[in-house]
Amino acid sequence: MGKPTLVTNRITELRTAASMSQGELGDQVGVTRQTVNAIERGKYSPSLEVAFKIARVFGVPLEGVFQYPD
Amino acid sequence: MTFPEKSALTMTAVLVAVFGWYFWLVLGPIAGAGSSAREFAYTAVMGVALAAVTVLATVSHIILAIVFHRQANVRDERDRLISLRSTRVAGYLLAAGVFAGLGLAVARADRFWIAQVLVASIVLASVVESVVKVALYRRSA
Repeated sequence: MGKPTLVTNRITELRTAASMSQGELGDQVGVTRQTVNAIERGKYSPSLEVAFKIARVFGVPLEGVFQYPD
Repeated sequence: MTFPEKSALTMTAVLVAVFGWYFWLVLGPIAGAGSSAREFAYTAVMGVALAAVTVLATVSHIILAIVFHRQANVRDERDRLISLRSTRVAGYLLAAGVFAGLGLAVARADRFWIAQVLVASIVLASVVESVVKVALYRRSA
């Protein structure tokens, strides 16, 4: 939405490793499957709260999921 | 497709159909009628159009909520952000329409034309809000 985000993420990789669907991840963090898809594709930057929830689902720190280039 | 997208597309279809009919009648045969007949006819048609929009929007959303019941009450932060952005764009259009109506009033234009400009701006703002909403979903999905 708007300007493409510079934030990259490893959600697809972490989700696949956990054998979890986009819908299941969405249910756990309180967003729709479509929003998870948009985040994975870098089309939408989630709020800090949702970002922390995603990291918590995978049991990794925030920077283990989201990265911002130097 | 999210529920708000389905809702927006449905509302667009309802508004275009009902107010397409309204403006086809009002700007065609009714606009050409005499002043008093025109006044009565357009208010009657407007009443029918408003009733039709209310009934069609309610029935279509009940059907949508039944068919897509799992999505119907799910609304997340992205939905709220998209809704705010599309409402803001619609607000500009509505304001422009209101100013156009005010301009006509200041110029002492016929009440019939002031009413049509106001109705058109409300309908256009609603349609544009839905179109912008769907476009924002498509761009970030």
